[in-house]
Amino acid sequence: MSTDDQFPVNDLDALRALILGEDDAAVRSVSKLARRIDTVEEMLRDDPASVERLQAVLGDVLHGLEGDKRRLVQERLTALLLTNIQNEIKAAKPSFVQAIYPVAGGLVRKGIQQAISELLEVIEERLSEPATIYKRAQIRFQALITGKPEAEIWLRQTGLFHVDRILMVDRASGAVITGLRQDRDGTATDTIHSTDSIQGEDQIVSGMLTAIMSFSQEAFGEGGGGELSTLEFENSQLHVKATPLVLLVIRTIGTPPAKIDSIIENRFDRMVTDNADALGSFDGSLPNGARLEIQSQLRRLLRELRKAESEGLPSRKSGARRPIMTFVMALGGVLLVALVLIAILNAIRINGNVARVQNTIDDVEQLQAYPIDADYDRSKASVVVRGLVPDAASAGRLETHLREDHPRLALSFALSNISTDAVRPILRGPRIEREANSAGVNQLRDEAFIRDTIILDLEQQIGDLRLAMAGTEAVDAAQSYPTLTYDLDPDLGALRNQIGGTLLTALKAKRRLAGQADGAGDLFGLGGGGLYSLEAAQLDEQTVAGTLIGFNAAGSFTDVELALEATRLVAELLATKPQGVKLEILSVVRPVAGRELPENMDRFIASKARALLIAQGVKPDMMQIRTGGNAAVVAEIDPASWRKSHYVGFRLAY
Amino acid sequence: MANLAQKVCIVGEFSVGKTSLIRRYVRGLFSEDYKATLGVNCYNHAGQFQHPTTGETHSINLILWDIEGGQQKSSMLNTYLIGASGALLIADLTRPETIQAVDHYFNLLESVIPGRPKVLALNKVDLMDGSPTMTQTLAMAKAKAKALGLRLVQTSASKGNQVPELFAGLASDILRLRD
Repeated sequence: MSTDDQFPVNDLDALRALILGEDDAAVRSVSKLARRIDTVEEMLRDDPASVERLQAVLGDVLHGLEGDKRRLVQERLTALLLTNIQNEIKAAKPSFVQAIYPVAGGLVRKGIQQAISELLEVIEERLSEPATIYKRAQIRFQALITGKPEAEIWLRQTGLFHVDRILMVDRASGAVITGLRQDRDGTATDTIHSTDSIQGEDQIVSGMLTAIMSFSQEAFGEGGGGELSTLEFENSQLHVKATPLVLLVIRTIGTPPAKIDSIIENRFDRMVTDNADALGSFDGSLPNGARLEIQSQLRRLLRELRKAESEGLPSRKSGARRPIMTFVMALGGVLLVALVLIAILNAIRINGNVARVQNTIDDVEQLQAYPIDADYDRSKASVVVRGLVPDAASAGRLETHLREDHPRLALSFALSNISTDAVRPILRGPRIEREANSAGVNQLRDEAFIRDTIILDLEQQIGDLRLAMAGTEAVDAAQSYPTLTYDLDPDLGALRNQIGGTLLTALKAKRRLAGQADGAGDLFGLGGGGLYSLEAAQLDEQTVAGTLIGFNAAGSFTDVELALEATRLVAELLATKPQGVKLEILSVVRPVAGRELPENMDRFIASKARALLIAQGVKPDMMQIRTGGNAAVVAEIDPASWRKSHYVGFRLAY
Repeated sequence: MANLAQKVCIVGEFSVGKTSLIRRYVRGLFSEDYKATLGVNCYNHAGQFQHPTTGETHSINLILWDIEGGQQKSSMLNTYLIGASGALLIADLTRPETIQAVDHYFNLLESVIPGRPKVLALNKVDLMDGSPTMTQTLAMAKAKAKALGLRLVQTSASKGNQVPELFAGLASDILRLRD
């Protein structure tokens, strides 16, 4: 029911005036305007005559407006028109594109050209990477020899013309039909004989070039700049010649000869004409004969370009410097070769020395079962003998022997003596130290004896740990190894089984005794005549840590009786603890392979355990629920095994 | 050493995992920026592939054209398919509509490269949760593959499942067709 139905008009007005105060008039005015706009919209809808009428009126009105009013109306109308135009464009994009292309086409073309130009820059970078590395090394080397700054040499070289790569590309597939790669020294290689990575690089580049060619042709159309020809980069050019079947891509560095275009054009025409059949039937590979023929034409093209370059090119203005440069290069080459030779000879000498020392070691009969190796240490510039010897005397004998046999060699020794070093420090307990110090060398040489000693030492450490777990340090132990990790750690799991087993046996005994006599006492107060003489102080913490309550997939207790007894036990134990101790309820939801964890199960089972504890008299503020524990993944929840079910554990927090 | 270069197009709707599948497989790739501008990106994988009948090993340079998804109306798609020796059609297990779109891509491929080997890959199978929806989608993909006469390979780009097998299978089909 509306407000109008409840109040007479006058009363409604009065109420409105009361609530709105001075704004009442404005609200009324806006409502009236809204109604009028609705009416006008209604009139205009699907009525061309009305639209025409309104247009005429609007024109007159706008014309008659002056100053601020006119500006205001124009602003409003402009915003309205823009929104409507945007909506219309969205609704009928193709027709609008058609309509505005004469105006916007230039901008679009410019945008595409810019994008393509950027893409080609990337292609150029990809093609020039290996050359750049080579070039940098070359320039650095020349700078080193001549003592001139690298930048100066770099600048001088940029003018030199060099054809870096020629690729014949299948236009349909973008695959390289064949290619030629020329090194700085003038060696030309068939790209098919390049490494896989260079071949792959060429294939990717040629693929992208064909894609760009197709794209630009689609964007600009034939004769509208769709065919790329020469692309200038900082110090290189990409010359592209195309037929519907193939592309010829030539990358040159430096100032090209003036006739380059005509040379490429002529050779390209001849190649396409002479090999029309082979190129037309390219299906990923060419018959060897055809490939070799095209290769030879590519080489001919390369020669022609070189020749044109040598017949007076701008870059040759610096020709007078060439002999000096050649001499410097030759000198550099000789030095480089010499350095490499020295390095090789040195490596051979070192390897020989190491092998000779190793042979001497291997010949010592008493040390044949021991791992002793000779190696070369660059930091010490000497042959280092490393390994294990039975005793200090053997180490001394070996050292003397090697020094006598190889008097001119620099030798150093890093030999370990079994009697003190064979046992890793981490495993060396007090007993080992004692034995090591007291036992004779002959005894310690016996590997079995050493092994037994280690085992004895470990057993002693385990015994100590057990003692710590069973005594007053149990709290620390329980905190260090929380219940949460029990089923992820087999050793802790076994410990939990042991403690849990004790608990189960005790609970069963208690049940039995409770059935036999009244006031049989609590679990740990069975007295001398009971089954257990263990004192609560020795067991309580580990009992808490070992107490787990299982839950099935639906979150029900796997053993209600056990859950009741366990919580009663924990409650009794908690009562003996000082004020302020907290009982942590550790909730662990078992993950099942291939399924998501059941939502909120962790809090659900923890709350159930908490409810049982409250029923046993534990105050709620003494408990703290902790979730998020990890457990090993199982194929299915199995309530019969705590290792395959959800569970809640307990821990005392002081 | 690779001596045979073959163009392979990879098509499918947006976000079906085309690029992820390729990236799982290839050794060389181009700048990712290209795809946004041109609607295509080229990758390369040089590998050894076995001929399905003779058992001989062939070195092939696979030039993989990763064509932007959703180019159904673009005339560029046709242009990019020209010269391909084979194609992979990719669909997404979690989006049944991508399987329906396979028809369109298949028809385009058949018009541009008729009779060339094509394989349908159902990607993202690692997300299979056994739910009725996904089971139904899988059945739909199987039916689609059968109807179009395509081999269906269930892949996971994120886990790498069946990715090498997908490309190797297509390469073998290409080799067989060359006989």
